[in-house]
Amino acid sequence: MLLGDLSAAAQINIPTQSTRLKTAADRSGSTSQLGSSFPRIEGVGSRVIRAVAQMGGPGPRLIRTMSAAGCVGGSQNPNDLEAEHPTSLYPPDISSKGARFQYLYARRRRLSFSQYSSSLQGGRPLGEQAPPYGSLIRQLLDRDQLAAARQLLMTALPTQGDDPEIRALQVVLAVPTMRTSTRTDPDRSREYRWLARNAASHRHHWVAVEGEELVATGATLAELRARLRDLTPPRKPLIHHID
Amino acid sequence: MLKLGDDEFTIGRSKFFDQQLGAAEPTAKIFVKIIPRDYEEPILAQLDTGAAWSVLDSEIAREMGLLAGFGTPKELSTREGLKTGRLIRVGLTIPADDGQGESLVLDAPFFVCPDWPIGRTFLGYSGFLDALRFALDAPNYYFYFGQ
Repeated sequence: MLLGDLSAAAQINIPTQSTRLKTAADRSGSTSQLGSSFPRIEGVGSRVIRAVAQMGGPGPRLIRTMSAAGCVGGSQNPNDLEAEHPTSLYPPDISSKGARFQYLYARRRRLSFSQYSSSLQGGRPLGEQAPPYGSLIRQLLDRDQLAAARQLLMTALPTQGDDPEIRALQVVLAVPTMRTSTRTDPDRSREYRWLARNAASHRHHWVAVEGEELVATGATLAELRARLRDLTPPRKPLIHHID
Repeated sequence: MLKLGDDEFTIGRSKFFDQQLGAAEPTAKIFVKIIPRDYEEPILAQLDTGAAWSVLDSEIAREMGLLAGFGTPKELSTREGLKTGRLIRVGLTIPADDGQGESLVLDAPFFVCPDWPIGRTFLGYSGFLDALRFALDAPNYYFYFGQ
């Protein structure tokens, strides 16, 4: 939902790359510092991470860059964010969704310019609810952006680590834990040969095969395993469902 | 098992299966052995680097008690439409064949969904294969794995 808001807002009033560069250049007299202040990061995931990470992380850097480009000090009405032209509040960063996120959040909450500026210097906007990290992370997961979701989770943990949803995400998204085991399994080449030859006769069934012999079949896995418990074959069979 | 320079690259290997001739979809696919947590018998799971997530067969998930609402809600776009399920940690073993190195025990996120087609377990890229070292010796049907 929030990402959708950002996209919609971007269509309405987020300046184009060239516009922003020009605006910043007009104010700062140079464009060379812009690129060096914010190295461009490619990829949707990286930009989203950057977006929320900037809410708690490099706020001061954002402020410094905005100041350097003359974007902050030029306000004619410093207590009224709505009165500011959007381009005057944007950092001259052509790739930063973080600044857009922060700005739109402030607009939606009708923060004053001073509150907005303060919010850039650390953490969430003053007096407002916490960023919806859980929702954002789930949206990233729905878009199959695991790496981005993990990075956003790392951003959320310091402030929302007690949130049950964040804790659940921490469990699910943890890097797999691994260990080795000396317990091995027989070479199943013979079972594979049986499957290659006989699969057509057992379609839509679960089969348990040991060597080149069918041990049991079942319409459901539960049925098959119940039969295996009764049969107690000497060697554990290979289980497979034939489509 | 496999070495990269002087370092260990994989720890074990097992034979994989790729000829499901009598099945509804008979094109060759790579099925490797896994042993889900609490199971003693190995099952076959399709190795699919093109799948965003690993998916556990719905009947196995039900037997393991994974459809009780735990985990994180997730929608997964599939060939059969949008599936609504959950991401949940699943423990399993990738067993090495006897005499072919060591097995790997791990837990990784799997998508589980009550109406997922029966018999289809996938080892997908995100959260599973991207945490492994693996290699195929296709002419000899060996799947190598390591951490």
